[in-house]
Amino acid sequence: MRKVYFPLKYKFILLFSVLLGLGLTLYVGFALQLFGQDKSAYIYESSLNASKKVSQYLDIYLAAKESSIRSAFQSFRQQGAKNNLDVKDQLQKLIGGDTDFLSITIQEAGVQQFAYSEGEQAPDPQIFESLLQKPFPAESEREQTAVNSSEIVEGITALSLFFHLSPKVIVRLQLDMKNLISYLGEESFYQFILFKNSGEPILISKGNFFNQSNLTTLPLEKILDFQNKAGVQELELPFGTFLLGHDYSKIYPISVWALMSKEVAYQGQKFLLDRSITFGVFILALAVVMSLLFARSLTRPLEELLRLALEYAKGNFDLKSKVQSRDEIGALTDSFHQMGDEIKHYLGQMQEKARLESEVAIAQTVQETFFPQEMLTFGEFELASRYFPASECGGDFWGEFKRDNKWIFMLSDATGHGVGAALMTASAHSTLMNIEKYSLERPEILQSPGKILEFINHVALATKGKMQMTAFVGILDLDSMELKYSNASHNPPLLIKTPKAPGEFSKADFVPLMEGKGPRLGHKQDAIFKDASIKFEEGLVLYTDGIIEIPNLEGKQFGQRRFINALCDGQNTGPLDLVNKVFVELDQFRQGVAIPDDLTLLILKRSNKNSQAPSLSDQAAIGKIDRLINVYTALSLLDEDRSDGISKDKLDLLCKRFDYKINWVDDISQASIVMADVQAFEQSPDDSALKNFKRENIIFIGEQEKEVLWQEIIVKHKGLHIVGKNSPWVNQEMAGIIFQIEQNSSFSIQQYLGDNGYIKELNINSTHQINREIQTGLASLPLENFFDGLPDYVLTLSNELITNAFYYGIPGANPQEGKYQNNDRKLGVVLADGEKINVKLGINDHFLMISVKDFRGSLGKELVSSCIQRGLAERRHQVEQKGKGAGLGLFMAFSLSNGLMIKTIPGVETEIMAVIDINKRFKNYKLRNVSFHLFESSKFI
Amino acid sequence: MSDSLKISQKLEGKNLHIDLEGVINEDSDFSKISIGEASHYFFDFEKIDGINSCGIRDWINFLEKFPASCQITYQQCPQIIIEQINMVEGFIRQGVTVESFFAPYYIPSLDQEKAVLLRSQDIKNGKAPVIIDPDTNEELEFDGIEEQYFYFLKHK
Repeated sequence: MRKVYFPLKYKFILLFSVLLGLGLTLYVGFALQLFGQDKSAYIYESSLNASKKVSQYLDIYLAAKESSIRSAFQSFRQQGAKNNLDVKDQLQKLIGGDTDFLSITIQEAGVQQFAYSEGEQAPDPQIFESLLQKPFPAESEREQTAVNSSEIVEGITALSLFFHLSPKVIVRLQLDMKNLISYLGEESFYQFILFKNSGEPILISKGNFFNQSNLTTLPLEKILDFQNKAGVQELELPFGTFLLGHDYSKIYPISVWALMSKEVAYQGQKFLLDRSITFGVFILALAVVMSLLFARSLTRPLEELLRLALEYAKGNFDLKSKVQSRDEIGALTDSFHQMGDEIKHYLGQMQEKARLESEVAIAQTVQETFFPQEMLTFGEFELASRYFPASECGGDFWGEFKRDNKWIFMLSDATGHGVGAALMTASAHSTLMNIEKYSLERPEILQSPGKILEFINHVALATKGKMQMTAFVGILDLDSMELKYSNASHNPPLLIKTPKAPGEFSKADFVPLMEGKGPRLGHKQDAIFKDASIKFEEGLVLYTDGIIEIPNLEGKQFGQRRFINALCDGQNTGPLDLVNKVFVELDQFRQGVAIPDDLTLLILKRSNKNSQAPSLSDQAAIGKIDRLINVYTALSLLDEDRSDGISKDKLDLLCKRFDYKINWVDDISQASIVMADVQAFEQSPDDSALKNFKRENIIFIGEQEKEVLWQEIIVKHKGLHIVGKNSPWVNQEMAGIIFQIEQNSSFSIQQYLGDNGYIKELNINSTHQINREIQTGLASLPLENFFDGLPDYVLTLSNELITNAFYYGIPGANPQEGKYQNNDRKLGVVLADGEKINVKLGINDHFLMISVKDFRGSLGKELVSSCIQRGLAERRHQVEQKGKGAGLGLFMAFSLSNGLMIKTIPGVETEIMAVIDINKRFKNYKLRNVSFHLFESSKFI
Repeated sequence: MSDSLKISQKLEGKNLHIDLEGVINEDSDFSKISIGEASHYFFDFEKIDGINSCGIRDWINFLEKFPASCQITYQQCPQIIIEQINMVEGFIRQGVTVESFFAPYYIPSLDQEKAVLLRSQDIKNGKAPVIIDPDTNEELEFDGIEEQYFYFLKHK
């Protein structure tokens, strides 16, 4: 699962923070910008207004002062001064009444004529009068009024105002500027500077930035530039940026500057910005906290859901989440719970399905045991059969038993297929077995197949009609050749009549047996099943309707016609070959279409002297070789005195099972088979007949340690057959081996295990499946009569055999090598489509077998011998192992088994069968002399 | 039975204890066992389910990497391992001892087998020691061929 690098809650926090931060920043920025602009406009306007206000105040103030003097003098002129005292008195009144007046000075033609300050002596009246006689200057002459300032007289900042009384008479009025300065100081944000038109500062108000000493830093060019102009500017000065509002007196030659530090001017804005930032940070922090809380409310349930999902992945579907929210997450939680419940339910169903499949597989396995072998003989009669279910369990059944000279057989078909139909077959099987046993006491039942059907009907009725069966029962009297039969609604079997021309069969020679009909089994309680009889001629074909009704791609059915044609064409072969032929034709006809119904075919024939000789396969399958086998014994000791040893008498008896008789010869030259022990063999001269006898036909009696056996018999003497001397079934084995050697045949696992054997076929397509499949297979076998450690040993030897089959038994491009022979063992093998090996586990009352078959057929005599030598060398650690090689594996399989049979058709197939005797004692398992048989032929009979 | 071999190790001083679990086969990776760290290696086979021919081969090759001075001890060897030890030379080499192993015994009254853990030192003169079953109080019968089963003790 991917690691969470950037949890959702952090994404929420980031998102909120970024959004809010961005929003706040943009808004505050925009607001501050507007505010700044507005503030700037206000400040600028304020500066201008301040300067204007001052300039206006100056105008009013100075004009008022000037006007009061002019009025006074006008009055003096009109009244005339009588004496100094009047003038003084007048002046005193004037100056004394106005604290701003400091002095009056009058010049005429550049010469001071009159000067008066408070307390001083009054001027000469005559001079004063003469001056007053002069006309006052006109308004226009006031333009020449000048000012001067910055005189500090006894700590007083004074402003001198000059104006003309007449063209040559100038009055200098000295005013105390304290009130002006005080007035200017009322505007605390501004510092005012008054300039003369020359640019010389004449007055500066109190302030933090400018004083008399640093006024020189003011740019003169700007001062002159702003003369007689009103406006607002920004001034960059050494000690800061200032906002300058400037105006000028409309009456007097004075410029007024109102200066304010820009920093001070925008202090408010800065304050606002600072507060905005602080507020913004606070809001952001709040947003982070809120988003954290919000994120938790979202991510906690999601984390809970994640935890739940992980628990579900572990299979803990019972867990429920505690999420209670009533939003989409709550709904999602409910969906999760529902999903968990559904998965749990589905798993339960899958488990149940697996259990059912397992049980069906077991049922299939069990059902397979109901059926007899594919080839049976009784006297001169042969019965070949083939059963192929449509699904795991089928509804067809056939069974037989023999009693005296009668052969009783039955074929049935339960309605449908599957488990239900399979249960009916189980019922039919057990009923037939019961009839077999019952007939020992009541042999008369075997006189009437109808009675047998009645018996089975009674059992079938237990299903209360829910399951029914068709059935056919036949009783063949081998002596009279009479076939009695009864039919419970089954397909009428076909009697094969003797053709007019020997060997030339036609459709007319296949006659359906139409008599003896009755209802289905399980249909009604009082059903009557009639008997019919007919003379048996060439043969009898019994089948279930699945054969006729098998469809092809076009939807057509195989049909009666094709069926009979196939039977016709194959009449000159043995019954097993004929069964094979019919099934091949069925397979070709259906073109891969799934089989809708079970297929069962039985062909009963008798060997006919007039017809062609039975095939060798038929002969081999039934052991029908009525012949004598000459056997020579080269044994140091034949254990006549051992009840469980090799015994001629016992062998004689057992050979009858295979329909041959041993002729014990004393002359090896007459023998076709030799039984020898190693000692006797080694003692014989190299040029002896024994030493030169065909190895395929020598059966060695083995009683040594396994390694010695391999070395002496197989490697040294090239022996191919070893019968373990102390084998519990030594005589059976010997009899069987003699037969197989004589007939050039080789038993299948089924033939080794016999009718009572149970075989389980394993589906192994890769080396990775081996252990699991073997274990599962072993678990299905009854192993209670074996020693405890058996599974480990079977697993080990099976592993070796199957692994070898994978690596060496799959044909590849190079015919000299197995396809996967050179693969790295660590990678294992997975078979491709079309590639296969065959693995079977089998058990009967005597032993357990494992059969491994490959379809390359490479393990012949020479290779076995070299493998054994390699194995021996490997076990002595005499060769370097590089992860490959079959030697040690084959040796291990040999060492861990009680018998090893190898059957090879070169280039076609190799089958290795390992046998372990039933033994509750490990000791006995180890004491057993191992058997070994290698059959190699291009074609086995 | 697991198809893979699990190896767990514990170093105690100069002794390395190695527990093996599963199947010894071509997939077994012995490189996880560091050679040279310890002077004495203890291999516990109790949880080994099986060994195949490739596994035997790889085990023997693995053993050859140990310096001759290293001591190697096999402990709690199951029957199937004893089979291989007896069958294939090289499974025990110079410096390797089998300290303990399971041997098959038989309980006559119950007609059952029982795997009994024996110490090599308990085997005197190639004879299986007498074992009394604690449940039935009867003497158990050694259920193997002593000369064959204890072969590895003679031929080290």
